[in-house]
Amino acid sequence: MVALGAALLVGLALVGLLAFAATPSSALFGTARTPSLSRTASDVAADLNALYNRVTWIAVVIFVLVQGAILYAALGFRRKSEDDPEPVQTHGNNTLEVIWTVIPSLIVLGLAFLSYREMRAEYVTEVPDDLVITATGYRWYWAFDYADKTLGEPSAPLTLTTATELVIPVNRPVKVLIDSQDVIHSFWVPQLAGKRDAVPGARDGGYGMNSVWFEADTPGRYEGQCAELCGTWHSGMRFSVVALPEAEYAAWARAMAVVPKAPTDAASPEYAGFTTAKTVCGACHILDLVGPGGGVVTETLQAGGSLTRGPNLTRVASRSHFAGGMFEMTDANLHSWLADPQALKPGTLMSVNVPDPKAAADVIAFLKSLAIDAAVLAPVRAAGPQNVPNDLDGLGEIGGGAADEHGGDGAHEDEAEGEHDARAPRDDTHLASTLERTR
Amino acid sequence: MTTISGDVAVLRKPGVWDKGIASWLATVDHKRIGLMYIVTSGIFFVAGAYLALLVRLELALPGRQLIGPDTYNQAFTMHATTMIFLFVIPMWVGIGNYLVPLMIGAIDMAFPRLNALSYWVFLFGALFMYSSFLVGTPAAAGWTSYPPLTNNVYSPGVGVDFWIAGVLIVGTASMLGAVNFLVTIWNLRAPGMTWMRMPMFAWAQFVTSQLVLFATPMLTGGLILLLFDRTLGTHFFTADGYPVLFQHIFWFYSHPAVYIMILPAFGVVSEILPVFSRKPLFGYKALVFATAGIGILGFLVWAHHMFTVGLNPNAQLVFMTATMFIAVPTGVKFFNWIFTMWGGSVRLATPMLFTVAFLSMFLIGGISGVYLGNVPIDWQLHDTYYVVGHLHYVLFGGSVFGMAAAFYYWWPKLFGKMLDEGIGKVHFWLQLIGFNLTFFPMHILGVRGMPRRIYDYAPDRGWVFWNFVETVGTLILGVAFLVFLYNVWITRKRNVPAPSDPWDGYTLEWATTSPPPAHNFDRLPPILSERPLRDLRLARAARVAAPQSGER
Repeated sequence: MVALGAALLVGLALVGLLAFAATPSSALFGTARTPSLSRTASDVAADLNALYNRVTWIAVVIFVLVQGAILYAALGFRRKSEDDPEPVQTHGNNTLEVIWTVIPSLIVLGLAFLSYREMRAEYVTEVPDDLVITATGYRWYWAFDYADKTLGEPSAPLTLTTATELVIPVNRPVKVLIDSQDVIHSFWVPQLAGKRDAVPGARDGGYGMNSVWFEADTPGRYEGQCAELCGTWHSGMRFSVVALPEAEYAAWARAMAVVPKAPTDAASPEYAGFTTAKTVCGACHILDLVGPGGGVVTETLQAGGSLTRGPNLTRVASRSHFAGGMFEMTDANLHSWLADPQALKPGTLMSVNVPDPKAAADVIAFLKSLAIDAAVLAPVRAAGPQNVPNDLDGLGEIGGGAADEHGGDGAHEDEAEGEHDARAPRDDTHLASTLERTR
Repeated sequence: MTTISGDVAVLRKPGVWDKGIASWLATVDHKRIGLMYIVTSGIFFVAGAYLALLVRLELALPGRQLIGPDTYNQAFTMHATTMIFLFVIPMWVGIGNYLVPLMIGAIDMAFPRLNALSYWVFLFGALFMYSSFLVGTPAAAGWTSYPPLTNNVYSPGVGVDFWIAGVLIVGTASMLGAVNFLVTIWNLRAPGMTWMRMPMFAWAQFVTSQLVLFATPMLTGGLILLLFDRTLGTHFFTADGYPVLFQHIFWFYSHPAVYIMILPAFGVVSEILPVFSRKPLFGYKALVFATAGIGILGFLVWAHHMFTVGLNPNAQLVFMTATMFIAVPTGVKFFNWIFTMWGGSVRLATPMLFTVAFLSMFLIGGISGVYLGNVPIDWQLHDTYYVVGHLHYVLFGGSVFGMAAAFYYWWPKLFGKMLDEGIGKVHFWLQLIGFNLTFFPMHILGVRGMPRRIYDYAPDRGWVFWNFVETVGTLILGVAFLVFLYNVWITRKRNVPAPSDPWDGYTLEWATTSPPPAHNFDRLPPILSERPLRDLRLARAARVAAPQSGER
């Protein structure tokens, strides 16, 4: 029977090898867009990954020893025949009991100490509040409110609001305050930092908002996602972090901080779109515009107490994705979305639509007229996944833990030659297929 | 010493309540109640497995395969709820109900009517919870039911109300059962069965029942407050209250619940390993203390489920260290189990195969638990598929493999027939392979950043391949279960009676017929050690060797 089992295992291993050989490496080792813990892009994430690898070394040794002992004990003392004499009846051994109580206790204390060091580093570090971004979880998207003292004044930081796409400078610490306006969410960008929950009421409740901080060391696009079940579209509450060189980030932030002007030419499609947007979208969305008189007007109906709160639409056309990061910001996708959001994302809280294609085209034209300058936006749009050589991810860490400890450095080395790759136009086909599938 | 035989005469005339279905409705016999628990939770296992199949089929590929996001959320919510509250916990209650009185040489549980009440309350609560499928929509907020998501604002409809009421009723049944186990084990041990001669399975049920008794009221209280929030407009767990408080209350119950689900499996393993190694349990006392230690530590670690909610760093440090220290008594158990086999005469019959696999699989679950109990690593791995993999290695690789071992071991005692060994081994290998294909890749997906409880994922994240493999593994697991059912059917059809003691067992349940009579024992052997049946066999062998001196 054990022979049969062994044959089965060997067979399984062969099937596994065949499957391994027949499968594209991206499927096995992850793709360039895999938000793997080991593809770190900040010191914070690299430290967490290093701790993971240290624990893995200890875990592998323990696993091999104990698993080996289990198999040896089970297979090495087989009964040859039912007439075998009863083996020596050992009832226990106090010395052994002490040994296998004390040694695991010491290992556990060692592990706890490793983690304590890491926790201390995390909690004791004074994070400069130079760039503070409040990430607010809504069902089902993330809104980001910036306060950047470097680009503004310490007393009057530059502020801007966006959603779903968090643009940050590289080599500058970013502090993210995490808030929620409805249920509990969790803010997580695996390549940059660990996750923290967004607890509603924390802002005013006296127990304080959670925060994370990180300093991206490599330009690129890092995928994030809500990590706490928050209802129907928990899976569609994605976002990405785009890390840009300081100058490109500054240009983007300055452009985003400017409040655009409301259209004034009553004959233009933008004006028609503005009118539609005010009545249809304004129930749930905010639009910040400079009105005819010159002052900033927040165009919103926001009938008090509405549970539904959509993302700020002012600069929506300057973002790469919409609807919780599920769809790419293209005219075609926006048309489909405005025509019937429930068809694309059944159960989404957007309950209105713009069925008339002409009216929808006007709305899209209006929203695009509010977008920031295409040249300033170009680096954001072009930011691709960080070009990190494929590794075995979780499996690879077991084998190459120590080498991976400085995974972040490896990323630095590859950055130069990966640059043109990272800026290559992104593949649009998968989004089209996403739309297709969701239909 | 003679073999125990036959039923005693029924002293009154059989009436309508002594026959057919009516006799099951009216029974207060711990064995029949145990069987009803086993069958009921087995049926709920099938329901829970069906829901898991929906989840896995949906996740096999990106995009919509089968069901929409709301249905998906209902499926995994009810899968976990079913498997925890309506399958694993009551299944162990059933197996314990049947075996504990036999193992300690008692005629029944201490409170037979309370025992029947526990079962019927459990059944009612379970059916009540499942009626939410009929009267509206079942709960879709996860088995953890965190508010504010479970407030009436974000979970309108009756699903969560049914869920809360169902868990309250099932929890009440559970507490009634726990009292019964505690009193039974405390008071009804046969003469000679001291605490340190008690079978480890009875010890496990003893500690488990204490966990049930001390932890469940906390959940009951928390759920009632949640129900108040939903129906009376209170603000215990809303944004105006403190949502995190619910998580504390919930995990104060639900972490011990993990041990409620795994300690009985530890007990089963501690019974099977000695018998199939023909050696006493290595370090019996150490195992008793380790079981108690796990029970105590189990109450001190609940916040390790909450390392990302923003607890005080010092509290996190304490909970992390306590969590890691659970590895110590668990390690003690592992080493004692290994040394029970070491130097023995090991027979790898099906119950033993499942037991060895239990050790291997639970080891993986234990080690992955050390990662998750580690605060900074948990900041990354919390709420990812790594957690899903970990918990299934504990609850499937642990509890369910333990149950499979228990069924193959005690089937002859329960039903008087031996399950087929050959089919049993096919079942074993299919289950082992299917299990690892389903759940090991979850660790890989976790470190690749795939969150748990997501309905869909982008195709470019590198998550497709392993998700597909997991779904294939799930189908193999399904086949394994069908093989088990076939084994049950063919065993019943062949109808070959099993002897009283087919495995050369050590504990008292093997001293009576298979299945035992209503009163359990005609007479008990003397209990001079934790292995009374071996003492009995040795005494008999001595009598055969020297008949003139051994004759009474």
